[in-house]
Amino acid sequence: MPESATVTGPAREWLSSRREDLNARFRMAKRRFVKLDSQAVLALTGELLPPLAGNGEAGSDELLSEIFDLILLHAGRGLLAQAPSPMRALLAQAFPRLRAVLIQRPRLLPSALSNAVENVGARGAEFAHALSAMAEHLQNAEQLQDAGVVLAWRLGEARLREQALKAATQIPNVAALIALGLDGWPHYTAPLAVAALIGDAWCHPRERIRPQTLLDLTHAPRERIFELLDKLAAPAPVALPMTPAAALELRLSGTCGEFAGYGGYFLEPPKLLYVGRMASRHRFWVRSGTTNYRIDADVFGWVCKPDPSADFPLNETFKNASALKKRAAIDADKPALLADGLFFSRGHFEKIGDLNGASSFNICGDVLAATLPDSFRVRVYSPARPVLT
Amino acid sequence: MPEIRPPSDPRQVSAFPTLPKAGASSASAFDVRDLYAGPAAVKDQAGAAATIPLDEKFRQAYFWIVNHAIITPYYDIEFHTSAPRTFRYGGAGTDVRLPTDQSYSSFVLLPLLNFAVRKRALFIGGPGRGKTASAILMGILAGYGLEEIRRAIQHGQPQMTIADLIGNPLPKALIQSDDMENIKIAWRKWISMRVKIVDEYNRIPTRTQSALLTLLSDGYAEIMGQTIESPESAWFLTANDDMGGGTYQVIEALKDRLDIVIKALNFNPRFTSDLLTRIEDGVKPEKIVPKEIVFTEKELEDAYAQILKVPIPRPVLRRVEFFFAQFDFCDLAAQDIEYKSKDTIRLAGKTLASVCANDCGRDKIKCICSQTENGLSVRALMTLLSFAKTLAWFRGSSEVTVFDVRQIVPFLMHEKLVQNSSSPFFDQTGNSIYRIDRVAWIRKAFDLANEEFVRLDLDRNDLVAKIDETFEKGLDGVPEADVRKQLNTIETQMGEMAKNSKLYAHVQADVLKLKYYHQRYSNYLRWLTSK
Repeated sequence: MPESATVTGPAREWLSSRREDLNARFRMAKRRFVKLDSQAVLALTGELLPPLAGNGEAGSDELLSEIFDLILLHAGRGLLAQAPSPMRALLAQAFPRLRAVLIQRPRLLPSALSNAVENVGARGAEFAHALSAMAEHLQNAEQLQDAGVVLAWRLGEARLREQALKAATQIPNVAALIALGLDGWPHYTAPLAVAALIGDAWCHPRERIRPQTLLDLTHAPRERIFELLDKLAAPAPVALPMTPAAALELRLSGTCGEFAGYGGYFLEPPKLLYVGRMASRHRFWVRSGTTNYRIDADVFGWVCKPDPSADFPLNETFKNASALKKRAAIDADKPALLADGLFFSRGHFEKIGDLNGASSFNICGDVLAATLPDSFRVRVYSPARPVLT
Repeated sequence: MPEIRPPSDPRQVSAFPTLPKAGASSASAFDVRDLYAGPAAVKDQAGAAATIPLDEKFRQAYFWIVNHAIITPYYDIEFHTSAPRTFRYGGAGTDVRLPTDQSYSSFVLLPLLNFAVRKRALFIGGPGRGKTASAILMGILAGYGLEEIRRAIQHGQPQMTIADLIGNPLPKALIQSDDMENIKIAWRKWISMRVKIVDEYNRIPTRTQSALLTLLSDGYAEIMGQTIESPESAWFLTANDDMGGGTYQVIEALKDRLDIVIKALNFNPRFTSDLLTRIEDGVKPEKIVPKEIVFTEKELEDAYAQILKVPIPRPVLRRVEFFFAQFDFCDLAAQDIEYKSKDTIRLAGKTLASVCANDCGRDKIKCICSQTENGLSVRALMTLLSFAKTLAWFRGSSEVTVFDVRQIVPFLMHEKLVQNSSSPFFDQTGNSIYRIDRVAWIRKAFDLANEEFVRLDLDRNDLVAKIDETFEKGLDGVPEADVRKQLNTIETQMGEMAKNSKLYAHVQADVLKLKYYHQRYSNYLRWLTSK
């Protein structure tokens, strides 16, 4: 592979000094990707390496080596062919801005971030752009990795929720806000956003805190911020509120799952399974056809995967009130849903219009999940949380 | 995070876990590590290998070898979780099964198992099939450098002397010393290595074979009254083709010390492109063994300790006992039950074939004992138990299963069982192939033994088990009445067996054990009553 005439400076020196090795790597890559084009690789090398060459400081050599391997890999897989491409956004925009951090762990970070872009699927480009936006606020490799976890969660990888909430407290406020998609929030409000999500991850922080409240906090005393933090992080009620005086205020928090034809797994409308003590506000098991799936979900999105180890019974709705009454005679406190959308708890009924004809349900704490016989999506309801002022 | 490279990179080590466990859900297996894992090679900055279990490391070593070192795309050691799909091909009639569980190539797996359990393996097969290359890889996995291993290989050749093999006295010490004990010996370095390779051992002259035998079996070498101890090591010997000339008869004792036979499998020409790649890229696998699969001495010690702890459940052990019992027994060999063994026949200078031609009231087609000239030694049984544990450990199992035993037993008994090819068993339709294919023959014998075991319902009808249980509690403090009761039970049991059954191999083993218990209880009773 001939050197590019357009590459100058440290990048050129690096390329010249490793010519044999880089050519050998190209040949190895060509065996794997027969359509790998030498001119394309040359062009990409000329475009992507110079901004990362730096001045030869420690880590530069390894960084360029890793980027070169990524170029071979992704060019071979056709992921760098044309803009827009998430991988191109990562290599061309995010990496130059992240250089100061990348050279701290050059053999780990570039590849790890490249894999993360792929693992977040269709939102890879957003991932790359967000990394680019927060680059100047990140100081070290650990912060970059933590930021990546928060970002991946916010972009829909619901299985990372708990790790992301922990990671969000480890990174600079501005980076946390960018990762959570709250770019416009004042930097000191990052802990509030995280607290809101810890309190209820079915409720977006924007639903809990008014913009005016955020502005008012600019000159607020610390006690005021602590007060808000406590309120936001307060856990959700143990059970759906049901007293004769308190009407049920369930709202549709989200839907999860999808028909196989639209990129999901379900060939038949799913039904929820009864999982007993494994029940969680953010995790459900369903059966579609003969296959069981686990769904992790929250306000930012959902992930559905086959779960062959799940061995739970269906939790179908009760056909009518008399069937429910028989069950209620044994366990009056256990909430239940009737097929006509009537929700029962502690001896009281409330009608949920959307759930007329519901086929199955699941209740955990204050979250009600339900399915309809003609829908490929699981509906998740939870009470609206108070807006803080 | 362990180093992960693209699949095409010959330094690539298979990602953990190499053996995903049934029931583990892909849904639950996702965390930060998974977010950052993918097609791009991720390296641990510190270069430190992740702490993975040792059996997993052995599996990674296995997959590295089959993927990058030795082209052996065979799965002759098969495991199944459900009935495999089977295709029958015409001609001689060959069944090809598609394994439903992770299966292995014996040519790669067996050396690794031998390496782990520190036994003695013999590679056999035609020239140029990778026998020595495979042995060298084991040396590199043990942490030795390539040059070091190559220099340490003992190459059998007709002029090889004992001094060539194990060392010689320093000339100066020989002249100056006035006492044998003061003669300093320059021992050969290979004696102290944990992996020992002897190439073409059947080209070593008989006299020198004896020195090799001492080292191999007793773990020490001796010259001029001086001895050197050899550490526990894994031995790899290769045998030259007898037709090539320059070979010697291998002494029986040396042959008997070899624990496992590894057959070099023929090359499948459909994989010639892999060879071509190797030539064109100048890839020499022995030079690029990833450090992640190199074992320290401590790791090997720990692995060995773990292997020894793998339990063999009683039902499996009973089947092994039953299988073993089939071979040595011969009702026509002697009058007394203790001597009814093929050893008696051999010592009398006769063959089993000649004795078995007489009628003993048994079905010679069905009885496994008619198929072999000899039985199996205690050493062979111990080796089988060790290797069964090792295989189960390698597969990540919590205990040995009968399938582990079934897969390993042919390779352990390959050179130990001498076939009685005149047995009517081999004349049955479809059985003549077992005169040639020893692996299939031994496995068939194991299957037949198991079928008989199940037919006799010996898991439940173990007549000796209850007496075993009682005896294992010990004799101390057992009152006279209980001892007499036990003696009566034993005698009753033996009477029942004499009435209901011919003296088959397993019955002989049971009867001898009952006789043993009877003697032990009798002696104890004698002692009790003499007080």
